[in-house]
Amino acid sequence: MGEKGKTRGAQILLAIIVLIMLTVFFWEDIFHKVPSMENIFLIALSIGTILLSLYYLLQVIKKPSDIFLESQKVSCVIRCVSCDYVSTREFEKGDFVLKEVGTCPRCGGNLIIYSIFRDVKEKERRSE
Amino acid sequence: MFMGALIGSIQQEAAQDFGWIFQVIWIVVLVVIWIYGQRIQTALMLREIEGSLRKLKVMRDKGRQIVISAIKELGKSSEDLAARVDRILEHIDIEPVTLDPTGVIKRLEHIIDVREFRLKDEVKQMVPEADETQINNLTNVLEAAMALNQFYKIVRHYYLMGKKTLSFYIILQIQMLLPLIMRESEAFVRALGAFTLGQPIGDGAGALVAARLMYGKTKRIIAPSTVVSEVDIDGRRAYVIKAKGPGGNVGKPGEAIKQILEGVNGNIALIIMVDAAQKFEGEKTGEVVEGVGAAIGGPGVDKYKVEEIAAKYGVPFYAILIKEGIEDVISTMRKEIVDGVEDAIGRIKRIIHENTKEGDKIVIAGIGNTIGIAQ
Repeated sequence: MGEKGKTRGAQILLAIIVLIMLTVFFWEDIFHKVPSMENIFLIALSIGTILLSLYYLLQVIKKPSDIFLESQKVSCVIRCVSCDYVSTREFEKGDFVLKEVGTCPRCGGNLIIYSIFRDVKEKERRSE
Repeated sequence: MFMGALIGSIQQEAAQDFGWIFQVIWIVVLVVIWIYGQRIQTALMLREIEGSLRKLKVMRDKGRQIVISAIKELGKSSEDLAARVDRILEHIDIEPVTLDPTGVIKRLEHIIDVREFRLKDEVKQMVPEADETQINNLTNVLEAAMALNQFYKIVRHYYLMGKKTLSFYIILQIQMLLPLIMRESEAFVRALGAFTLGQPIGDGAGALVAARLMYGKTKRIIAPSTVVSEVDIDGRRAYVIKAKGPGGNVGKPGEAIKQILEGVNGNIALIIMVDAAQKFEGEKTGEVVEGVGAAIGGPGVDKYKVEEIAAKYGVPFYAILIKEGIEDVISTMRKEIVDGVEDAIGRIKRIIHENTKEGDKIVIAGIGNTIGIAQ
C-alpha cells in the first residue's frame, strides 16, 4: 500500500470511529427520552453530525475519477463501394476513413472504412 | 447499567451548560467570520485550485510521457530525447504587434507558418524514418502536450501569486475560470489518445464531408497540405477542398479558396463552408445548423482570406455547422457527429439546388483537422 493509500485508510478509520462515538453518545436522546425543546435540539444536532460524518466518509471513500483509465470503444464501419454490404469491427491502429481494407465477400468490390467513431457511454450522453 | 448511568449524568450536565456555551460559540464564530471571512474564503479557494493544479500536473506529465513513448515507438530512442521533448514543450509563440494593424494578418500567417515548420522539423529530426502521416500525427500529439503544459503553468502562476499576495481578486480570477480550464484540459488528454492512434476527431467533421464528396475523384494540391477535387453535383461543377489526410493537419483552406476564385476570375456562384462549431449547453451533439459567413475557426488568417476574396468578387458564402461540445472537438469522433456529417451532405445538396443552376461553378470547403480521414 502506498503513502496515499495509508492516509486514506487512516481517514476512513477515523471517520468510522467518530461516527460510532457520536451514535453511542446520543443514543439515549434519540430513542429513550421524553421529547422537549432541549431534546429535540440535541436530536437534530445528533442527526446533523451523523449525516455530516457520513458525507465526509463518502467523500473519502469516493474514488477520484481518472480519465487516463477510461477505456473507450472505437468502431469502424466498413462498406462496399459497389453493393450495399456493411460490416462493423473494432478500430485497429493504422485505420483511417476511406482506407481500402479488402474485397467484398458478396460482390468482390472494394471495401473501404466508411466511418470511425467512438461509442459514448449513456452517462456521458445524459449529462449533456 | 453503569455505562447508561454515566452517559445519563454526562448528558444532564451537558444540557445545563449547553445554553451559554452555544451562545459563546456563536459570538466567537460571528466575530471570526466578520474579521477573517475573506481570508477563510481565500484559503478555501486556494485549496480548490491546489487540487486542480495537482490534477493538471498529472495530465501534463502524462502528456509528456505519451509524446516520448510515441516517438520511441517509431524507432528513435536517443539519450537526449526527454530533454528535447521538454524543450519543445516550453515552446512559445509571440504574437505580432498590433499597434500598427496594417498587414497584421500577413505577419500572423508568417509566424504560424514558421511555427508549424519548426514543430514538424523537430519531429522529423527526432523520427527521421517516419512518413508524412506519422509526422503530422506526432506534431498533433506534441501540440496537445504543449497545451497541457501551458494550462498547468498558467494555473500554477496564479496559484503561487495568489498564495504570495493573498489577494482575493487574483485568486478569484483563476478560480472562476477553473471549471472551463479543467474541461478543456481533459479534452486535450483525450486528444492525446486520438492523435497517437490517428483516429478522426470531432473537429474533422468538415473534412469528412469533403472526403465523402471527393471520394474516387482526381485530386491535386492547391495550397500547402490542401487538396482540391472537381466533382459533378447535379450538373454543377463543385471544387471540393479539404486538408490533405490522413495525417493530422488543417491545411490552408483560405489560400485554397483564394486560388480557385482567382483562377476562374471570381466566376463562382456560391461558396459553402462546412465546419465543426462549439455547441451551447443544451444543444445536441451532431446537430446541423446553417448560416452565412466564413466558417473557419483558428487564429483568423484563413477566415480573413475567404472574406476578402469573396467580398472582392461578390460571391455569396454559406456556412454549415456541425455542433459539438468542447470535449468532443479534439477527442475521437462520436457517432452523433458522423450522423451530422450525413445530414450536412444532404443540406449542401439542398442549398446548391436552391441557389444555383446547372453549369454553375461552386466551392465546397470541408474545414478542420483531417486526422484519420483520407480523401
